[in-house]
Amino acid sequence: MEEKSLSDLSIHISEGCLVVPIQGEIDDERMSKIQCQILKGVEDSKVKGVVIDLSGVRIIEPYHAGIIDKTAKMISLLGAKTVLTGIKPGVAIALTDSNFDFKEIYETAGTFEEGVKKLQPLVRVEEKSEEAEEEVEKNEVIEEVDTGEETGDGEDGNVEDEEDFLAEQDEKDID
Amino acid sequence: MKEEILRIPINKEIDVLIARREIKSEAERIGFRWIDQTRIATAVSELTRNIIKHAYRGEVVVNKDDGGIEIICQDEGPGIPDVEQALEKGFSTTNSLGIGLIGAKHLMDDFKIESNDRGTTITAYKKLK
Repeated sequence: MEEKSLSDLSIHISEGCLVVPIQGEIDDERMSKIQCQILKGVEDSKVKGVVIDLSGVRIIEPYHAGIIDKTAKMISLLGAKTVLTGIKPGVAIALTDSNFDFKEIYETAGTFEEGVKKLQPLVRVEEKSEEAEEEVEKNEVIEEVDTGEETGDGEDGNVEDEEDFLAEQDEKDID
Repeated sequence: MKEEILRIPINKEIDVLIARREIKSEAERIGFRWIDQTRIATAVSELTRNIIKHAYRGEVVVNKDDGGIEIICQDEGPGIPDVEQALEKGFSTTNSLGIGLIGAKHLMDDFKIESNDRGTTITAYKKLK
């Protein structure tokens, strides 16, 4: 497999939203890793909005589009709302002719910035009500998978953590 | 004038990716527009994913002729009990996550299913426009 296809995921929080940029070619393993990280991210950060940015994905297998759809439903069960952004024609093809009921569960927006903006009313309301007990940290990177730019020292730890996490998720059988 | 240009065994998940990628590049080489290359690749993803899900193994054969490209997905699985029902919108046996056979059909110009208890052959054709 090409090196490029294993592009990295860097989930972070921006303006009270969990931002999930997905890039490159998706396979089953990567998709399930992404799903785990999103759900863990929502749980850990208690955000009310999730932006899944697909601008780095040119083509997607319908099966994986289905997992994104399912993930949005899970996010909804966790009490947050999802906006899909940056959908390219190749991805739109896999999302149409399907049973994905995205209107009910999630919305779409052109760009990631528009997606964050769309979620602001939700995030703001939540901020007010939880002002005292929890502060929404902006631009905090909560999870970063090995981007290939790090030095060897950090990598091992990250990979182990991730494997532990995935093993844990497997046990829970979240799918 | 029909010429076989690809034959890919479908045994595991990675083969779905390989089939999609290789067929997309063949479609590009033949001269399909980008949007049609993507339609073909998406349909192939769905059909080969079905092979893994329902039949565990099979193969995809790609033929070209002057008018376009023919994708034949065949397996020796249990077959589709009710082909008409399988082509209804929203039909799914295993709560599957794809676009279904109907989705794959919409992406192609011609779509034929032959299925019995010894296996399934789906022949799909996309015209070069």
